[in-house]
Amino acid sequence: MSLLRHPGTLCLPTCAATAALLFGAFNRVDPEPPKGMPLWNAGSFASLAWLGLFGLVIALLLARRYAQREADALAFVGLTGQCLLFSAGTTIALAVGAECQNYWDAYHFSALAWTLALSAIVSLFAVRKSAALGSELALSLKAPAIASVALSLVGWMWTWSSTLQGLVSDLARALFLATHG
Amino acid sequence: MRLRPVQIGALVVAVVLISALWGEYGKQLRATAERRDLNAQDSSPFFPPRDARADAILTAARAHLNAVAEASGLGNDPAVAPELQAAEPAGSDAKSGEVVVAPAASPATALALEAPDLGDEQWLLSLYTPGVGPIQWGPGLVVLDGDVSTAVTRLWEELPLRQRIPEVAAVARLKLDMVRGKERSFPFDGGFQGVALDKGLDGIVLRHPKRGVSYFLPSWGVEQEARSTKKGKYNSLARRSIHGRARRLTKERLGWTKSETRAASFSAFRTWSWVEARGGGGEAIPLARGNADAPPVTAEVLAERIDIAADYLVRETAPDGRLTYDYKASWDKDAGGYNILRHAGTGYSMFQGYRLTGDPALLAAADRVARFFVRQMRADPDHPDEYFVVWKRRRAKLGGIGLGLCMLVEQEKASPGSVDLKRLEGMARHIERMQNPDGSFESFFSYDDRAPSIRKSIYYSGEAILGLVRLHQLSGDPHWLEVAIKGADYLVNKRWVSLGLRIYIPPDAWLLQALEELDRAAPDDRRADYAFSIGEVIAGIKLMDPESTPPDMLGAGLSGLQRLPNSATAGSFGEALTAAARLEKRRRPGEERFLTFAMNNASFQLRNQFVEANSYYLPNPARAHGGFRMAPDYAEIRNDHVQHNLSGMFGLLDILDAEAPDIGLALGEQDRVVLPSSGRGSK
Repeated sequence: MSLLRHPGTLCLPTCAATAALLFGAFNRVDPEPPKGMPLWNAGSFASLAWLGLFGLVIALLLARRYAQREADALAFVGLTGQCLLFSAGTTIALAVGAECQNYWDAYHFSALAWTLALSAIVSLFAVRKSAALGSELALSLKAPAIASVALSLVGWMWTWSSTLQGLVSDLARALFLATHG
Repeated sequence: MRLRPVQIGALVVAVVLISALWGEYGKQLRATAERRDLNAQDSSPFFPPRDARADAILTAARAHLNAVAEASGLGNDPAVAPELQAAEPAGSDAKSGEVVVAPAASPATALALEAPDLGDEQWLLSLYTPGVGPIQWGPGLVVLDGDVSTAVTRLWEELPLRQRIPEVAAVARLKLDMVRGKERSFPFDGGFQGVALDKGLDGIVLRHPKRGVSYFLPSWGVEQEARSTKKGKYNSLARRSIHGRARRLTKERLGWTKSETRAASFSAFRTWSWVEARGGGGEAIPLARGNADAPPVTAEVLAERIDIAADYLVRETAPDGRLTYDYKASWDKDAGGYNILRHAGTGYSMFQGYRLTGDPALLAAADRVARFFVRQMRADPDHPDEYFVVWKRRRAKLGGIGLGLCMLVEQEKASPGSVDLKRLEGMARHIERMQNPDGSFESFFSYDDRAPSIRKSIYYSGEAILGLVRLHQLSGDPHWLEVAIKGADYLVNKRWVSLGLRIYIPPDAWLLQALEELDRAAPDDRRADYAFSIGEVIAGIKLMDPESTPPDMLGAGLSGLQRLPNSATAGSFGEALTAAARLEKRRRPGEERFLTFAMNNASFQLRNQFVEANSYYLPNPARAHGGFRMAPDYAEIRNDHVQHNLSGMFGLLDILDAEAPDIGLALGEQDRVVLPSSGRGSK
């Protein structure tokens, strides 16, 4: 029973989705897997991401009710949000690495991207509240939460800003020229 | 010291960020650090200037080579010089790369020539003999120490006895390297990823106290390739393998033991080099990275290069219309394999070539290619008037029928009345059947109950849309324009857009061409903007700044640490950038951003087409002539490399020369073909 009363219990559904997403990213994302290795379809990744995000939002709403007597409840939500966004980001990176552009729809990538961004926002919100209530865990999560929101912003800008895309290209060119005579 | 929670968090962020950046850029950053000031080495001018001494040395060496060859030719007659018949080939037992003055073995060595002035520099003379000796063995090589005649004799005597004939001298080419600057040390095998050595720029000299000296010339870094005999795989020589290859060649050519090659001291050196312009002689052509400089990109040059590319394809078309798919020019070997989609693309470019040159041999070969393609087509069992294409029961690709349509339309434009219009329309109908209600296309057609594929090719849709646009240019039938627009609008507005995010713009060269030509018939700002965006994406992964880029890399794409940039993609990106430039000309008058990109790209294309000047090291230069290699360090000529490059140059020529054929020619009303169900649509 004491486990159920732990503030982190609220986050268990999201943790499960996060773990499943990460497992899928590392083991089931290859669109043309070696024989015998099952492949998850793209929709599975998107659904897991949405599930995780949904669980996170519910956990946030519930945690706010406990927040006055248990500051760490919100901090755990923040921590779970960080895990979820890491998982979503990793899935995007591995999917691109496996050339899933030839198999997935834009929706599947967008679902993961929005999960990443919204998890970052939820996480920041939860961490700030919790830190204000004196949670040490929340204080240590403050910098990662701010950084993840900032990174989400940069990622979003990258989808439309030719300046940012140009900078990335310039960096790649500079490194190429620095390493080739 | 105890960290506060906020500091712990900041530390975690720093660690994660640094790890992520290191994962993405770590190798290159480490490589940059490893190279230190290597890039600051004086490398200007990049291509060596014309040098009177080099000319004089090569002229003298050629004169002596011809003389010695003639004398040897006579000497091979037992009645004339029986002592030559008994001589052992010198190549296999040469123990050192140092010049060892051989005793005069033939009357030709007595031909004394006025010794050219060598100055204080060190010169290395090599003899490339196409078709003679083991492939990838490297040329004969000697150090010049003032006596050109002796050096040439030595090179000549390294050839197997039966090859010492005037015919070999008539195709052989002499190459001269002048050592520049000081030798420099480098870590074993080039250190991290081999980056302490530059492919094609750095040579290696091995010194052993007992064995002497062995040279691995800078150009060998691009001339040498890798082959796995077990897997039958070929590739360029990885940068980290250059030092190992230098040791291996020393072992094989000079007879050093493995331990001797490993015990030898080693250092890197750079040279300026010149090669005879053609087999049998000619002026000294400056070389850098094993390649000759390319001429400026002009309409005349493009027309000439298209012509020789088309000639290559004609030579590589079998009587039944099948093309050589993959010719490994460094090994003079067909690697086999086939791809019907690329076959169609190649036929398409051959008809383009014919529209420019009017060469009947080219038309005849292209017709055979088209007939071969038609033979691979099958009627859809459920819709007998519709056609798809497969190669040996592989998957039926949408791109195959899309490019097939491009090819047959081009055939009809090149040679009116030559194409079965019912067949043409049947191909378009198949494409239309593959289109979903939202405008997207299925990438594969399931025939004979084959399991459907989940793959959604990035490029097949663009190929299909271009085919439909071209059919509209030929027939004027608005139905095919509508189908093409529906497909294009899906790709522009929906394929990579979801939940308010545009997550990707692929470098889809086919779609960009289709959008440019679609814009002529049905202008639309969103489609045009998207076309320019594709052009920006492509230019973004290329070296386009002449100030910071080595001249031979201008217009090249970015490559990894191990290999030089891919020139095959320069072809397809050339098609795209020239399409963007044509669109720019119409939509953004006065701007030349994409034209500049296309010109830079074309200069890289020209450098990687085999012409006489840069094919000196191949075993069969005549066969490779006109073909485009995969990369400056990998002489794989695949038919689609040639196609993309030819079509890209054809598109650029369209801009530079008002008289040149229009790549997206829409026939006038009086010339249009009437399709069997014209105007009535399908399905």
